[in-house]
Amino acid sequence: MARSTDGSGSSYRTPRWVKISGIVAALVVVVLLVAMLSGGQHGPWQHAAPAHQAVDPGQ
Amino acid sequence: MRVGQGSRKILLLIHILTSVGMMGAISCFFALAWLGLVDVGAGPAVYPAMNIITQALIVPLALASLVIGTLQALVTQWGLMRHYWVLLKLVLTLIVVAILLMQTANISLLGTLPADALARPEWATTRFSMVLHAGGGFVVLALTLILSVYKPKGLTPYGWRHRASS
Repeated sequence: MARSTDGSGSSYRTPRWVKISGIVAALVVVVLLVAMLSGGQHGPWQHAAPAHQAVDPGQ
Repeated sequence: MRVGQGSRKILLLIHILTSVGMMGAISCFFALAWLGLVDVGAGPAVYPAMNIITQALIVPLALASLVIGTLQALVTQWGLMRHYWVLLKLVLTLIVVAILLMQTANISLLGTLPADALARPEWATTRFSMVLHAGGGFVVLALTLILSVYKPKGLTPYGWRHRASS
C-alpha cells in the first residue's frame, strides 16, 4: 500500500527508505532461495551433519 | 500505557546494555568461530567456549533485548507498530533470535566433537556456518543500531491512522 487517505484530504505515502529497504530485503531473500534451491547447503539445520554421521565424543 | 521519565531511562539503559552486550558477545563468538575454521586443531577448545558464550551470554542477552525493547516501545510515544524504524528493528531482532535458537543445537554439538571428527568434510560446512551466521548476525544487529541512532522518519499505515484519530 503506497497511498491512502483518511477522509480529510491528506494522503499517506510509504517513505522512500522503506521501499528501498523492502527491495533490498526481497533481493536478499531471492539470493538465499536461489542458493538453497541450487544445491547449496544454506538454511536452518542444513549445516549439521546427519545424525548417523555424528561421532561419539569418546572416540 | 505510559511510564515516567525515570522508568523510561532505566528501560533505555537496560536495552542498550543488553543489545550492545549481545553484539560484543557475538563478536567474541565470531573470532572463536574463525579460529575454529582456520585451525581445526583448536576446535576441541574453541567450540565448547563458543557454546558457553552462546548459552550464558548471547541467548539470554538476545531474549532480554527483545523483551526490553518491546516493552520500551510500548510505554513510550514511539509505539511498537507506529513507526517503520521501530517495526523494522522488531522484525530484524526476531529474525536474529529465531536463527540463533535454531543454531544452538549445532553449536552445542560441535562442542562435543574431537579434532579428528571436526576435520571431516561433513563438519566443515557446520564450522563455516558458525562464521557465516555470527557475521550475518552482527551485520543485522549493526543495522538495528543504525536505526536506533538515526530513527528515520516514516509512519506505518497504523501509525498514520493513530495520529489522524488523536
